[in-house]
Formats: sequence, structure tokens, C-alpha cells
Amino acid sequence: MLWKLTCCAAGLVLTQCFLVRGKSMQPTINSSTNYSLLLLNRPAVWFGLYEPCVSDVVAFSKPDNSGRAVVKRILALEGDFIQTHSNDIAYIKRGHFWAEGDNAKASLDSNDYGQVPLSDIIGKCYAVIPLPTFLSSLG
Amino acid sequence: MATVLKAAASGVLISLVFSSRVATLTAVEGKSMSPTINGASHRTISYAVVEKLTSISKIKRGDIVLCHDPEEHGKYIVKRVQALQGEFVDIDPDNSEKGEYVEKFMFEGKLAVPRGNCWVEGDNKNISIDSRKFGPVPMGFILGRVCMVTNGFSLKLV
Repeated sequence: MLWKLTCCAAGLVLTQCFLVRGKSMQPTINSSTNYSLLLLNRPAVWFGLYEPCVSDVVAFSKPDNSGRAVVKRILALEGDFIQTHSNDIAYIKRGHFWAEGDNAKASLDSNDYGQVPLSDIIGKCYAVIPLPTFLSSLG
Repeated sequence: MATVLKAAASGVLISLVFSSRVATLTAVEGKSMSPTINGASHRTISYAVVEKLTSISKIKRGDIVLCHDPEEHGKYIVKRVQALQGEFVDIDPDNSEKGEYVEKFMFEGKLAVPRGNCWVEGDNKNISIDSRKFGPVPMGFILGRVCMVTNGFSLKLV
């Protein structure tokens, strides 16, 4: 227990920051034009200590193998039944989860590309820092 | 006198903690797990060493577990885990013994094990009363994993 706490505390210090932009996670991440800084707990995933929970906001590799990462919320985990936007029922297989953006209308998520493997998760997002407008010319 | 009482009390405490958290011994009756447990024709009872150190999330397919009987409160059953949450089980569609769980958890022709549950079956499929009758078992019902079983006077690993 103490070992887990130490690792997660170290994780909070050594997290990697992600620059994100997009409308799919509004109002949680309000960065349609400006970038936001996302603080992720990556070491928890590296040490295998991350236990996925429903309603966690996580960053995971985009399923189209482009090497990019996307940030969405976990809505269902393995073994759950979930109703998709096309009113089908999906059953989440072992080792997968269902990701959805908070902004249902403007989100490309599991409703489009299906279940995502849990191994694709890069880290759980625990803080969002909006960046000032003048930094939005980066990238 | 006081030291004897203290020693006895600490002995009781240690054995209680040990049997609830580390490992315990349990008697297993019946042929639903033969030939693994009670396989010999003359054997009606065996003793199983149930280890409680593996956490529930580390229970895998193929593990034999001791769990609460979902049908009868206060009773326990020893069965093998065949599927975990997120996995499918092929069940016989015209099995007359199946209960109401079938309508709830069927998905695309197979039974889908819901989150937090597992599917247990006895090794002796003909006479075993298991998940095929009472449906998926919540993982919280599992008390521990059977690691050794007596075989007459010897112990065998399972």
C-alpha cells in the first residue's frame, strides 16, 4: 500500500504534459482554439498500477495507428453493456474499454472506431491547465 | 496462568488471521469436480488447501476457486473458473436447466460474462451444478483459490 502510494506520488511529479486542442471534451477541456495543458499520470501505467475506472479521463493512442494520442472519458469497461449512439448494444470484451468525448456532437470516439484496448492507455488525466491565447500559435 | 492465556489468545488470533487472509483448509464433498477432486470411485471427501493471497483480479481462467454458493446462503462450492468478465461462454441453447440469467446476458448468440462476474463450471460436466444453472457468479463471492488437494494420504497440486 505504501509502495503504491510512493509510486503514484512520484507519478504526480514526473508526469508528462500533453498539449491538446479540440472540441470533443468540452466542457471538461475547453480548448477549441487555444491549447490546454493536460497533466497525465504516466508512471502509474508504466508500473502497472493504474486501475481503470468508469468516468476517468484518459489519453490513449489513436486507433488508426497514426502515433497520435487522443483524450476521452472511459464510459464502460470490460464486461459492460453499453448503448452506442447508433442505438446498438455493445458488449465490451476483455481487455477493452469504451471511450467517449464529453461533447457528444463533436467527438470522434468509440462510437466511430469501436472498443479500445486497455493497453493503449497512456495515462489518466488528473489536471487541465488552459493556456493563454498567444501560445496557440505553437504546433 | 496469565501467560498461558495470553499465548492461547495470540495463537487463536494468529490462526484466525492466517486462515482468513493467507490460506485455509476446507473439506470438499461430491463428484462435481472429478477427476480432479474426489476422482477415485471410493472417495467421497477430500481436503483442499485454499490460498487467499492472490487478489480477486489475479484469478485466471482454469483456476479452481472456493466461493459462496449463489443458490444457498451459508454453503460453499468448489468449481473451476471458465470465463472472466468481458469473455464469452458457449452455452447449450436447449439446456433445460438454465435459469433467467440467459435472457439478461445473451449477446450475439453467446453468453457474455458481465463486469465483476465470472463463469464457473465443475470438471464433471454431467453432474455438476454450476454457472450453467445459476448463471455468472460475482467475483466477490470468491473466497480463495484451491492450490492443493488431498488424494488419499498424499497432496496433489491443482
